[in-house]
Amino acid sequence: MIYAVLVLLLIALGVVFLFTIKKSLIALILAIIAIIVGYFVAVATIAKEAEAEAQASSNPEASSGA
Amino acid sequence: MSSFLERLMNGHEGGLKHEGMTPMQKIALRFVVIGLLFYGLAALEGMIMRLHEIKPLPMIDESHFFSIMTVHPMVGIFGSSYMIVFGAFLFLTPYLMKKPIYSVKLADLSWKFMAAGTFIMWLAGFLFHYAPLYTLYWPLPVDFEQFSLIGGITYIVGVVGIMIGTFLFTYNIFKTILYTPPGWEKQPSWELFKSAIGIEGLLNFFRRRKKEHLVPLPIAAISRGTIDMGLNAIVISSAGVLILIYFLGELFGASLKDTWVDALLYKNIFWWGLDLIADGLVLIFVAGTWYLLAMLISGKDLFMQNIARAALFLEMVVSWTVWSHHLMSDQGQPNVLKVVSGEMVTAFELITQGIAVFITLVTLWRARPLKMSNELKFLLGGILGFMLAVPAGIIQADLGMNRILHNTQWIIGTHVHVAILVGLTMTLYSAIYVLLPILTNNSVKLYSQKLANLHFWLHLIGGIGMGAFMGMAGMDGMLRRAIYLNGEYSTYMILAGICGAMLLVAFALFLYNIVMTIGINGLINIYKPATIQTNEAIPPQKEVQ
Repeated sequence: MIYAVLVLLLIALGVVFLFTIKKSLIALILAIIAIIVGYFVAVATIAKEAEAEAQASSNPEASSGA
Repeated sequence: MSSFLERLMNGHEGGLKHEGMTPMQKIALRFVVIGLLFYGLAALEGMIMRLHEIKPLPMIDESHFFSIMTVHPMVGIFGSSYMIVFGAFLFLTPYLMKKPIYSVKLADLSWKFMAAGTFIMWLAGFLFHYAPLYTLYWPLPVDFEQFSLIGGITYIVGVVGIMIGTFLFTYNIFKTILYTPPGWEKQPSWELFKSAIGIEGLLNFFRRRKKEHLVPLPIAAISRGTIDMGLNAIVISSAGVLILIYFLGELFGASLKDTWVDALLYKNIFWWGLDLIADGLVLIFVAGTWYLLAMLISGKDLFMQNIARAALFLEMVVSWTVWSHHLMSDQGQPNVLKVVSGEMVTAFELITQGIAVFITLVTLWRARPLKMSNELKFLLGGILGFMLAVPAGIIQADLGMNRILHNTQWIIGTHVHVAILVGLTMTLYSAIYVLLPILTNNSVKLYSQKLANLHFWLHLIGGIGMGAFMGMAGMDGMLRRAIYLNGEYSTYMILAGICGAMLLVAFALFLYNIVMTIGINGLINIYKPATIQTNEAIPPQKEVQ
């Protein structure tokens, strides 16, 4: 489940931000943007996963590599 | 057996007939029942604190008071509001998308993690008096001179449980919207994704030929609110891991310096995440729920559907940029954030929420005459709650007014409690009244309409009254998070206490009415495995075309 991996990475990134950013407005805003973009990417992987599963079930031979 | 006992055990007119219920119907009710019990716990905690503010109670010492204050909002928000919302949306998403839920198992795991997490977190306050308050301002959560390590670890373990339950919910919701059920024609996952999160709606503004929306409006609201919920869970989890690192350091004898973390930066990131609940998913979910309820109650299409969709997208963007109104009194906070994020963007919420109120009321107005049913009454109560609480929030998000109102009872009374108790909770009661026949396959009949009416009026008057008297105390200078030992604000606190008691009685009447409707056996049966094995939201034969 790529979604779970990306969510864990974003949590770790959040911890890094909390430790490293000091008194920088730009860094704060960039950190917020990074978390938003990162989460959209995580949700997009669910769409990608759903698309791949649908393809595989409509074409089982291709998915099994036959 | 007397008729009272018979009804108590088996419910009104035979009570809940659980044999025909799907797993999803049962899971949704499990969420709602646990959510209502946690609401009762939060209401009791609130009443204890209110009584302590009137006259300090001998059995509650200072550390216990502040530990109650720490867990009270967490139990109310995650244990109650989140639980009821999760139950409703895990049912409504497959129901409205007309497809089975992706995973019944994940849905079942969600309520277990949420319930266990909330209970463990509550124990941290009850047993260990861990009390850094829900805002967890740095370095309060890692202040080992005030709080015990075991209390802190218990609290974080509870929060981890809640966050796991939340992420399982977010995954299940998005996967249900986007996936292709086995044996179905392939679903356009990417197109559904773009429609659900609002990209398609945004592109439609620039297109000559508008594309049709693939997801219904309430699903758009659920998706966008769930984005904010995911972002919020990431931030809370990051703060939790940070705190845990300090706990582990302390545990293994390597005390870490709290100055390694910039307290103001921490407060900004933490409030950015926390505000995604208050000014994000709550407002978005509530707007979506109002639209759905208005359509179900009126039996008509929503007025100005496209504007409603655009407003939901705007609300999501506003919710990402609004957090600084919580830092207006922080001297170190950059002025540009105080003005742009704190004042200007916050004022936008008056517009987005105003649009939601207008659209819902016009939809209902166009369908008149309408019967004043329980769902309609509570919906109107919910709308009134936000009409009072949102402007109260805008007033305090003014740099001048914030000097007077910051950290006073106004914030937590007139704004927060009116928003949550009157706005959100009455909307949830309306949803419960709408969903009860759908979740029970019309097998139950409400025990007493008189009790439902009493519940409505006591809750409405109690909620608004409590918020108003707390607000008056705040305007006279009474701080939140402070104990006044000499009765400085006794008059306001007694009046707020009477209103708080009305809320508690209202809840007791509602609970009694529901127990007598469903029966204790019916409530127990909700937690037994379903006899029908399906991922469909409702039994197939009952599906309405």
